This record gives sequence, C-alpha cells and structure tokens, in this order.
Amino acid sequence: MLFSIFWRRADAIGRLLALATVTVAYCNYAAAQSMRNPYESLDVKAQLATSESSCRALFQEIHGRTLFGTLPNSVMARLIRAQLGFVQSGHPTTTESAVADAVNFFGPLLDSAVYTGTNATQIRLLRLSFFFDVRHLLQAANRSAMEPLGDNTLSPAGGMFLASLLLRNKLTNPAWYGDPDAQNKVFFTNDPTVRAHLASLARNDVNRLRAALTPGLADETGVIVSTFHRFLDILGIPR
Amino acid sequence: MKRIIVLMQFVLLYVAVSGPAYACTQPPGYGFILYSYLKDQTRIFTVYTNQVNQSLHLEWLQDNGYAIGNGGPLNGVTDGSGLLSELGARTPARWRIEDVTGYCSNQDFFKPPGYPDYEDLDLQPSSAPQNHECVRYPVALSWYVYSDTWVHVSYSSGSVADIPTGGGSPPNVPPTTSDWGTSQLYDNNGAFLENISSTNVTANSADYNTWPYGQPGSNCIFLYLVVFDTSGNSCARIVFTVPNGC
Repeated sequence: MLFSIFWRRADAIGRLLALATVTVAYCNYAAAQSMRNPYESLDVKAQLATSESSCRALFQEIHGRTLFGTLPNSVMARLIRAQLGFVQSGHPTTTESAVADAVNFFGPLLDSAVYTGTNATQIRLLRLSFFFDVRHLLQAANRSAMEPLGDNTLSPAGGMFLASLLLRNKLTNPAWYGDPDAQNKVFFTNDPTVRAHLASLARNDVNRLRAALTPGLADETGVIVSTFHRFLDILGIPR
Repeated sequence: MKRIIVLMQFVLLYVAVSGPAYACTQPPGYGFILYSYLKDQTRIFTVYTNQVNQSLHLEWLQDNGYAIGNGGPLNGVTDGSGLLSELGARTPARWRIEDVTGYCSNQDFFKPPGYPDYEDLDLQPSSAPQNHECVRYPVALSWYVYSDTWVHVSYSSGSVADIPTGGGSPPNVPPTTSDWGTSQLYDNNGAFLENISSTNVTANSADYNTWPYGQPGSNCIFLYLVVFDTSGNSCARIVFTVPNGC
C-alpha cells in the first residue's frame, strides 16, 4: 500500500529510480536466495536440461565443480546425446551399481596409491545424502511421484555427478580413504565424535588429480580421453 | 647517426625477444594462481567441490621479503575449474582474498553475520595453484529413538551452517527454540511420509514422533528427518533406523 501511494506521487524520473531500486533489490534477493544450498545451481540446470546448450551447461558444471580440465568434445557430445535421449525417452541409462563399477575402474588408473574402492551401497548413501540438495538431478529414472528414489536407476547427468564427486573425493580427500563397507556403517552412526574425527581427516590434495586430468583431457587422441570413454561405457552412456 | 639507429634497433629487438622471460605472464616469474574451493563439512564425510565462476576481489596487504609485481587491487572470476590466474600480481606477499560471490561471500545465506568473507593468504610467486578455502561448518546433533517411534534430537556443538538462528548467528552459538520447527519424514526411497510437529521443545532439543512409520518389527528402512526452523528454512537432516527394525 505504501508502495502504491509512493508510486502515484512520484514523477517519471522518480518512478524510474524506484523501478531500478526494486529491480536491484530483487536481483540481490534472488542472488541471496540462490545461495541457500551450495548445489542448487546444479539442480536448476538439471531441471532445464532439455536442449543441447542447456545439457552442455549442466555437464560443464558437473565436471567443473568436481574434477579438473575441460571435457573434450567427443566426451561432451556423447554425454549431451545421452541426456537428450534420456529426456525424450525417459529410459534410464545408468544405475547405482554401474556408477560404482565405473568409479572402481577409473579410480585406480588415476591414482592406485590412494584409491580404496567403493560399492553400490555407498553410491546409494551418497545419493541419499545429496538428494535433498539436488533432487531433480538425482531422482530415479523410473520414479513415481511418491517415490523419487524408488529404484536404483539414474539419468546420465545424475550418474556423472555421483561418479565424478566420489572419484574426486576418493582420490583427494583422506576422509574417504578406506574400506567402503566400514564407511557405510559410519554413515549411520549418530556419534558426533566419529563425525568430528572424519572431518579432521579431510584434506584437499588435488595436485596429482589435476596434473593427470588437465593435460590429459586436452588431448583427444590421448590415453586419458580413451579411458574416459571406457569409464562412460561402464557407466552405461551409449557411444 | 646510422650507428645509433642500428644500435637502438638491436636494443629494441633484444627487449622484444627477452621480454617474455621477465613478463608477468611467463612463469616462473611473479604472481600466483588461486584455486578456490568449498569444503562442505555438513555431511558425514567432508566433501570438496570447486568454486567455479566465482567473483573474487584481491587486496595486497604486505610484502613478504623482496616482492615485485602489481600490488594494486584486483578483481577476477574463477574459471570452470575454480582457478583464477593473477600471474602479474605482487609476490611474495600477503593478500586478502574476498569472496564477492559464491560460498562464504556476503550473499551466502549460511555465512554468519560478522564472519569474515575473506581469507588472508601468504602467496608465493608460482604458477602452481594456491588454495583459497571456504568452509561450510556443520552443527553437531545427537539423537536417539525412544518409546519405539519418538526421536529425541539435541544440539551438541558447532557452527550454524545447518541451523541459522534467526537468519544467522556466530559459530558455536546454540540454536533457539525457533530452530526446532516442523519436520518432514522421508524413507530411503525418497518418499515423503509425513509432516511432524516438534514437541517438548527447548533451546537445545526437540522430540518428533515418527509413528506409524518407525514401528519396531517393520522392514529395515532408513528414515530421514528433515528439521525446519519456524521460518521454513531447512536446518538439519538426521538419518536413523527404528530400534528393532533391522
């Protein structure tokens, strides 16, 4: 009401200023809103990924946030094709166990000294852990409205996100080193001291991974890119 | 005169050829590359992700020994892998790295008021990325199931990443009663089960009744309790099972 009174009395310049102020305030509000969940922009992109450009933006963000280097054209084209196919047909392309297999394939090749393995249960728990942040990205392909995680199927983008996130942390973060079954048990503990201990183990030692991926992904004919394609094969992304 | 011109040409040619060896963009020289990332400690296992396309503002604070390079304020945006190259900047020196956007910036809903939106770093002249960290702190919650289906949740310690008290509060300040609002119960298929009101609310704890979903003897399912504060903000998540279900 105050705003309408002000609006009637303002002259043209004043109205423009008021409009600009409201617009800036809205933009600040929108920016602030977008910061509530660190992964929200991924989920928004997952919702909008229905064209080649929007799928490209989604995969660029998934890869950029989790790994290093730039996805080569051949890999990007394959991912976009798979995601568009998924959007159009609704047929799932990957599963939690395929994500585990793909990570278990690529992890030791990137750094066998630190990689300690994962399994489908761990992928499920990671998916549950992130589900409320990136619901659209991680919901099941064969979902029902009532059970968005009703089975273990995933979209190509959902599979890539979980695989890339786990690969990065399994290779660079000591909190994730060790027996995956033991880690799965810890997931359900309600002991804050265990949680504090795991946080103290965390260390972001990315130099080896960055050094392997950044130049490796820049070479379309190199071994890293061909290995990345094999990784996608195991993930269930069609060639 | 002609000799002088020829000599000048030599000098110019030498400068042109040798220039890149001393140029600020040619490592090893001076300047640095920042690597900006988020350390998300709110999960059981800490998770790292890169802060991509993040705006940063850099202010030189002091030299650390003999330093060369540009000491003026700098603005930049991290690339798709969280890197910002400032190979012309003054080093070795202490710089204040301000998060203009992204997590830990003043736009970050969960950054406590008064908590710095910058990190002071002693940066070396190097083309190897140097870390700029943003930490999302957890709040420590304890919980136990009693009377078969009641979940008692209590605050132990920690920061405000999960529990914003009235829009934010400094780290290690306990929540208030307004942080124990309603909650939503989900099963391990992500299926929404029910809204639950909090009862027995104190500043540090609340009880939630999961009946009929958490009955003993039911199938082994993991239940998610998502707690909201009275403003409707998601505060915390708890994973639990019923006592005799598994």
